[in-house]
Amino acid sequence: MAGIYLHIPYCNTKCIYCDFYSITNHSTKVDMIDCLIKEIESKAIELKDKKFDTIFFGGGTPSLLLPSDLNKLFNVLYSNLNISSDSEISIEANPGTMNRKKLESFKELPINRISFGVQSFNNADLKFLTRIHSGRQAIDSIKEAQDAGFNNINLDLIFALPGQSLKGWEKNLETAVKLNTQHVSAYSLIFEEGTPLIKLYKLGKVRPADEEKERKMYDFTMAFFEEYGFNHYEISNYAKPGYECRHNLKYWMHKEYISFGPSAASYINDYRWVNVRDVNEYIKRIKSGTMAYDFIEYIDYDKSIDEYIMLGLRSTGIDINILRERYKIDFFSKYKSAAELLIKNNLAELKADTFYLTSKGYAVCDEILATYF
Amino acid sequence: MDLNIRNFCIIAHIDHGKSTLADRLLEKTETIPKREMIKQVLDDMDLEQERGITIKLHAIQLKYKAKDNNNYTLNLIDTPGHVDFSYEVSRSLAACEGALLVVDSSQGIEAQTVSNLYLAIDANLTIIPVINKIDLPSADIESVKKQIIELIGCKDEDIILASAKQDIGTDQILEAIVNHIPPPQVVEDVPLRALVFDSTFDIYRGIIVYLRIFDGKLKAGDKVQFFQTGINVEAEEVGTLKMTRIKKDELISGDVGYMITGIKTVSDLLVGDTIINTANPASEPLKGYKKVKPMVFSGIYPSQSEDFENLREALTKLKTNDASLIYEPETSSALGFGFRCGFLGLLHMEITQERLEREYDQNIVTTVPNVEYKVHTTSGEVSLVDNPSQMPPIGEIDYIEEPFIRAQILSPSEFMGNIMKLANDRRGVFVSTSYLDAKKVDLQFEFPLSEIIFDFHDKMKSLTKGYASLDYEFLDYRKSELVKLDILLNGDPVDALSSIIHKSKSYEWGRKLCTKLRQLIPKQMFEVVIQAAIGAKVIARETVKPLRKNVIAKCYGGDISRKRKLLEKQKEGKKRMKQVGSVQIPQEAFLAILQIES
Ligand SMILES: Nc1nc2c(ncn2[C@@H]2O[C@H](COP(=O)(O)OP(=O)(O)O)[C@@H](O)[C@H]2O)c(=O)[nH]1
Ligand code: SF4
Repeated sequence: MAGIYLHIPYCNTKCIYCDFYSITNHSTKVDMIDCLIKEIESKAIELKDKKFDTIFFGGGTPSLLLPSDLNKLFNVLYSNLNISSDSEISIEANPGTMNRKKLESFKELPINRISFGVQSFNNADLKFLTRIHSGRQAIDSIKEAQDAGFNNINLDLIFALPGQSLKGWEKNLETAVKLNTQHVSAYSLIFEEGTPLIKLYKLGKVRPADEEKERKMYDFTMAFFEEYGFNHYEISNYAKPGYECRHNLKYWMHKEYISFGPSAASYINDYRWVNVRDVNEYIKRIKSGTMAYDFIEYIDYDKSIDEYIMLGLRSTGIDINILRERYKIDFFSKYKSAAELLIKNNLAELKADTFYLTSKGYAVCDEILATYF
Repeated sequence: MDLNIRNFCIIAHIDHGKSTLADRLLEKTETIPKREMIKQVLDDMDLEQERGITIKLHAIQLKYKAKDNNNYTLNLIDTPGHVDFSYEVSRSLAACEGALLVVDSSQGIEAQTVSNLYLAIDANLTIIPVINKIDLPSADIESVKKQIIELIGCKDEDIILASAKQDIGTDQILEAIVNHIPPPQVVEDVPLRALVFDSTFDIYRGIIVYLRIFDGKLKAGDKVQFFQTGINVEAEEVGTLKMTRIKKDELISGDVGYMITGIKTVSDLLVGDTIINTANPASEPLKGYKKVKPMVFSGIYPSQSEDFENLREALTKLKTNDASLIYEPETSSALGFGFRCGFLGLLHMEITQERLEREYDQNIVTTVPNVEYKVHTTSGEVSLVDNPSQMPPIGEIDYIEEPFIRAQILSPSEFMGNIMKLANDRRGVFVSTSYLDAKKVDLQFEFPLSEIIFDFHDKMKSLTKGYASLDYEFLDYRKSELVKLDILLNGDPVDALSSIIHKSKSYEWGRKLCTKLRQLIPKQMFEVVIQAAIGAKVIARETVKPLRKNVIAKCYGGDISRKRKLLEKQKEGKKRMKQVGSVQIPQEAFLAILQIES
């Protein structure tokens, strides 16, 4: 089973840390949606033998779409692709763009999972991150979604903000679990190239949290969610059992996915391609019937194995049987000494033929990957 | 028969204008037309250009019609300009009858110039003194004249004032070459004796021998022998050297030229060797041959062990045009398979490393350079140790001797205090001072060689605003209080980080080395404990705290290609480190000792 992703690149304002492709000028929206439809239709034949069981509207802020826009897209998706009836269908939502009515109309659509970009419940943090909503609004939105009948909800949080205290972060976590959502993504702030945030950093105006503090926050987060019965199934993701995000698991378990829209990445039949970022260029290409990608590569054996291990160690682990069957690698001979060392030091575990990192290992996952695999 | 031959070379300090002057001489004699002039034709390796050092010598022939209306053949033999290559310089000088002494009018005489000049005087060469760069506003012609007169005892009016840049004095220099330098003594009816003063390697033709015929003649097709190595070859081709090789039927007494024999290994060919005729052999070789001995040693290892054979191949190739490089395989428990290499000096070492990396594309790790020690054991044996890890255990050592050198430092007198202090730090023994003129002083010291192979030269330069210059020669072996300083990482000694140092400095060095290593070894998965020890005694300790957080938190959206590439980059970075036990050591760490401020 494969996944479907649609990229909606519009936001009301651009957050300082954001490196997703998103724009605040919405004038291309109508054209863009037409092009999404065209792009989906153009792939129908190629994908006729694939089955899909997740759809994910990401962005940008897909919650800016009108229910009628979404409805059109669903019609096209369902009539062109084989989508299973029990699919997970998610949409990202910015609390600043939501209200009760909108949530109720979303509920009328096939959508069954909402992911709220909360980031923090603390208004000072939100201001620093240049978010368009308050902590209160986030809480209200989530409750309204629950009232509307959504029972698979995620909220995103960010930690290791400049100046954030461990206490402040703990408070965010406590507020989050009180809301009783099924899923939380908690990731540390990344200073991405090309963002206003990194510019501030280069000018010496903000300082990232130090390594020790970041680690303490991360350790706290992991212990906290464990206590509340969440399953830590990816570096930054925690879910109540059975509520792991099936769509994101496609990426992390090296499964196939097809994506539509500017900057969207697909992985089908051992090829990965990424569409052009610029929405005007995207529209131009789709309208003229040319390929929308500006990057494509064949994932050969070496790349595939590297990706499988990289993604596996970041999430649910490496399946030794898959290594043997798909990649003809005997885990125990190839990675014996590394595995022993990591297990001995509590950084990894081996259970039921799966080699996976412990929470201690997650904290230094990139180092482990670069050093031993 | 052409008796109007002059064989000469140029003695000059780096940057005093040797190459520029050579350009002028080539232009004036129309050896190369002006428009085809590429800057500084005598330096052809780009490395040399960057460093301004003529590493390998070549020769070129100029045709000059003198004021007396005779045609002369002038052979200009190039000489290397650095202290490490003094033997090669002496062989080039031996091929000449005269030398231009070129001195920068604003800098005055430098130490190496003095020692090369002495070599030339020892070889009975006629010296033509030239003060160059007289066009400079900062020229101090009078005091440079005094220095020259003090050194060679010439007359004021014998000194030619020149500007190679502005082409002033070039004619006068050419006339002086013709009029003052004697023609070679021609000895024809005796068996062949030719001096090998250099060689280069040509991938198609093999080794090209540069030679000067002293006695007899050398014809193409002759069977000849190299006296020292005993190797017999055929002189496939002989000729003289212009911008290209000019094939000739024969070379005769007095000529400077080349010979191609098809030999492919440079070790068969020794600079300073004598070529004789196999059928009609001379009984004695020419004088002056010396086996060059490496003075500085270091380990060169491939960054990745699987590249060992590639490195061997690169060294083999490098050796084909650098006979003074020696190497033999060695193993290190830390670095695996590699080579212990011997160099003429520190500069020679640096050049070799750089050429391996740049010309031969090798990724190498080098260990701290050291000298060769004579270790006297309690059982009465003497062993030569050129690798600290080969030092016998303390209990078995009776005493150790290390090489000493005599150093000559020329410096403006205002920096004397600084130099004295530096010399003192480096266990120098003061010998004498004398003044070249009112402002320039000649300081003589004796040093342990080990003290000057590190950063002595740089230090001296910075303490004297770049004005002092250094030259040295080997003296003898002397007993010293030396100890082996070991470095342990997580309890295991890392042989490639061991060094041999004077006891009086060992504690301070142990501490500083640990601190430096702490800065150089990046945080990693596990804590790294760094210890310095002498024998079983730990004298310093530092730790590198383990890495606490290294993970990019976010992996959404499907652009996994980008993420994979980031990881590949990180892996590349790791590859450049050496894994010793569980510790990853960056290459610079093996040279950490060089970065220590004493
Ligand atoms: N002003 C001036 N500069 C000169 C003269 N001769 C050489 N130079 C400059 O001095 C520098 C070193 O000269 P070069 O011939 O490369 O010196 P080498 O290292 O002895 O071969 C170069 O920048 C030359 O242009 C001269 O007569 N006058
Ligand atoms: S709302 Fe999300 S996509 Fe839009 S700018 Fe902010 S972080 Fe980026």
